[in-house]
Amino acid sequence: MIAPGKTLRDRKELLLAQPFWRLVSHFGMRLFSGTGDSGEGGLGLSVSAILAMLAAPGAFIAILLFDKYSSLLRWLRGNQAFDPYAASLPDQYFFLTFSMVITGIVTVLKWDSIFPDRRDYMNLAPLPIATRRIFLANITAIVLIALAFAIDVNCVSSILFPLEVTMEQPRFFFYVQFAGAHFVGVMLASLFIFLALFALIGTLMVLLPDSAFRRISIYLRIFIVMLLLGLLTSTFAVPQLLRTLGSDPHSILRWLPPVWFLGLLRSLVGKADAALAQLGRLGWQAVIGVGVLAPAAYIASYYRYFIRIPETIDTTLRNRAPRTVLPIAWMDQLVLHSPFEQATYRFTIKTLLRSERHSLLFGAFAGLGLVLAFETLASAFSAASAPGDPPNVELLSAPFVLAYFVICGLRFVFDIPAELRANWVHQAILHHEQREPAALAGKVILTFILPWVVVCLPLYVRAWGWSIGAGHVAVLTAACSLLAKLLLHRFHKIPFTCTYPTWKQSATVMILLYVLGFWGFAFLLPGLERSLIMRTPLFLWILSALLLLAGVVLRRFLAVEVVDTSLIFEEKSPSPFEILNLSGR
Amino acid sequence: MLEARGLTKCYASIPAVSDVSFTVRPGEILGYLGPNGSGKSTTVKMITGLMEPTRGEVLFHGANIKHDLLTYKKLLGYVPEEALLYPYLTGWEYLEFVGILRGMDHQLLRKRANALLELFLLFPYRHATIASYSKGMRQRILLIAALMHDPEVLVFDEPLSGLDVTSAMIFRKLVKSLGRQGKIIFYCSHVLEVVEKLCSHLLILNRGKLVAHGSVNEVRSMTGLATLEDSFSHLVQEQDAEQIAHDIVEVMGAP
Repeated sequence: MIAPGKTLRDRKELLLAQPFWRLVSHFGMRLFSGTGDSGEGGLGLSVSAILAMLAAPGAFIAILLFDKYSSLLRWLRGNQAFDPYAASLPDQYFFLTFSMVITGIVTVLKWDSIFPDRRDYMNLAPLPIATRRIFLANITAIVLIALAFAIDVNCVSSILFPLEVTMEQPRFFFYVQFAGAHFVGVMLASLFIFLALFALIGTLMVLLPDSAFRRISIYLRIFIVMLLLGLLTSTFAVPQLLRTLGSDPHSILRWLPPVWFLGLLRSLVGKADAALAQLGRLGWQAVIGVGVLAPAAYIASYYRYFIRIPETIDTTLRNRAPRTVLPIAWMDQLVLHSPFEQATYRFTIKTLLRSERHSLLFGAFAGLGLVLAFETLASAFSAASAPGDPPNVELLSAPFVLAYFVICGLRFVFDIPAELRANWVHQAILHHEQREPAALAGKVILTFILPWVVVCLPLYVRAWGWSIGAGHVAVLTAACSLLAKLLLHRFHKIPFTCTYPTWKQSATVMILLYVLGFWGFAFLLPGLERSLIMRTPLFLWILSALLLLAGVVLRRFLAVEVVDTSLIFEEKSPSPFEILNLSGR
Repeated sequence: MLEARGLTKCYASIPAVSDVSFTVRPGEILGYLGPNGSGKSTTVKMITGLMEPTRGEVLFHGANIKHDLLTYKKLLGYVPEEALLYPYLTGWEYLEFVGILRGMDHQLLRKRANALLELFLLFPYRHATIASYSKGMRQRILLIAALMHDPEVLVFDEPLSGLDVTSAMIFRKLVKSLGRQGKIIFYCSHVLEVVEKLCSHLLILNRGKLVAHGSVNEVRSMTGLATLEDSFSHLVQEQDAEQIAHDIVEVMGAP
């Protein structure tokens, strides 16, 4: 019993003095903290920072929508015939999808922390706590955090967006009704995706042997992230297509969960047509279905997995001969020139493929690239063209889109440390003035680009003939090489071995540069390509030669300004003061 | 009294531990020895209640521990082989976490944890995260967590791992004192010299089977060898250590 007059802090301490709530708090903390032994698993963000980051996009978009719904602005634009309820449909679809995608991605990122692991077992099992209490505490923590995330992601938009839509309504009731429906809709959408992923993890853990589950887990997570990102990109197209929903009983839109919740939400405000209302009922059923399936799968997997942890520790010694698809001996002779490059190349590729954090992050980048590349291809094929026409810009830009995300994704994950405490081996063996890390990182990047570019070559040649197909591949390869060189400027570290860079200071500028770079690389360059093809395909070879030349010039030019080329293992933030030494002494 | 009767553990019908029996009385320190993969850790997991034996039973004061596992765990202090701690907690937070889960009175927990942190030379670092701790510091946190509720049974699995010379010396004397206090101590280690000096009884395991059991003198006289190291080598080593060392040096110098 908590006495009146206690402060919130006292109440919290009293609650946490109880073993059950202490456990709940512990499981909650795990979700936000790194799981590595050195505590490097997390990005070092506080809970409040994570919550603020998740809440920001929804709030920002809700604010931007004032422009659309403001009666004053509409009056100034002369747009009088405006039905805010009808106009809110695409925005509702966006908020629902956004809510699902954020919840889904957070769940996928924290996939491993959802279930108690070996560390929990070794710490908790010897203590006098019943297994079912550990289970209940874990599920309580998960449910509370899932609710907190869902509320956090949707809270600002649930207040602002309904305010914008109902600002011209005569009664406050309309606001309450719309806001209530919006909140219920987005919360249920979040809950659905969370429970669905939870059920999926639990079911796979029950059905698959532990080693098989671990093997497929990473690929599955990347695939789910790709699906979610694909869902997010659908927000531009789906609302326009919803008009056809009633007339097409087999529409693919009926399979999209955000459409079910849009139906549910619109039904709650009484603005759904028959087709949407029917899908709204499906939304309710889906939530109930995963609501039943998720706890059942969780209980089964918990008892199958957690209880057996000590046995799996003793029996999971895997001793499999290594398999490699890379012709490594051939590469050692032709591409990797020094012992440093040979050793570090192997280390980088293996870390990238085996470290879950790195492969997941890279997979997310590549997945987003793949989704956008497919969308670009889809729009390319939907555009009318006659046989013999030169390829349109979209068709040319699809591989550039994918390559941009692959290269930027790799450059991003190179900065994420793997196991800093293991760096002593590099520091003990390597020479401080090692000058090859950027070249090595460039070769790793090209390993992930060249194979699929080469595979695409016969397709291009078949579709457009030798001169255009091979020219396009040459431009793509040269552009990728140039982009990699640009991104690896001042790269003086072995990938994954340096502390986190100080992103905070230049994050906004960097994001802007990356967006501009994307536009230039993925759209401007293919546009230029097309105009050159229209004149003569030979120009493609000149363009690729120019791009390669630019790379060489850039390397020479940038090498002049780089004074210190020592290998670094710790990123230091730039000093706020700098001595200019104008006297030259 | 802690007693193991015919303990057997099989993984996919392959026995990891086979028919192991022993008794540890209050005040006794039982040394548990064996090469890697001999089944030491599996035995430890069974006597700490982390794992159920395939056959056999663990008795505490005559009752099977599985009948009232929670009460047994309340009386148990366990230092695992691997210091798997939560890196984002501070040393103090970890001890507080374990103490609360053990149901310790908060005042008592604070008093004992602080006193033990002082004695184990960790008090100045109690508010640093475990991620920044050295291996020895992590091991000392584990020792404090195992001792602060004053358990009746202590199970140490390689407790000296990572400890410096001073801490190891303190720990050895501590184990002796705990034994004199009447605690039941199960001490699992690879370090023969320590086991020889500390333990009143020995148990040597090889390939999951008990190959020797008795006092240090009894084990020595059983093999007819002068030192425990020789006796251990005689009982469990199937390879000639001298020859292997020689071969390694040859390989190192080979072209």
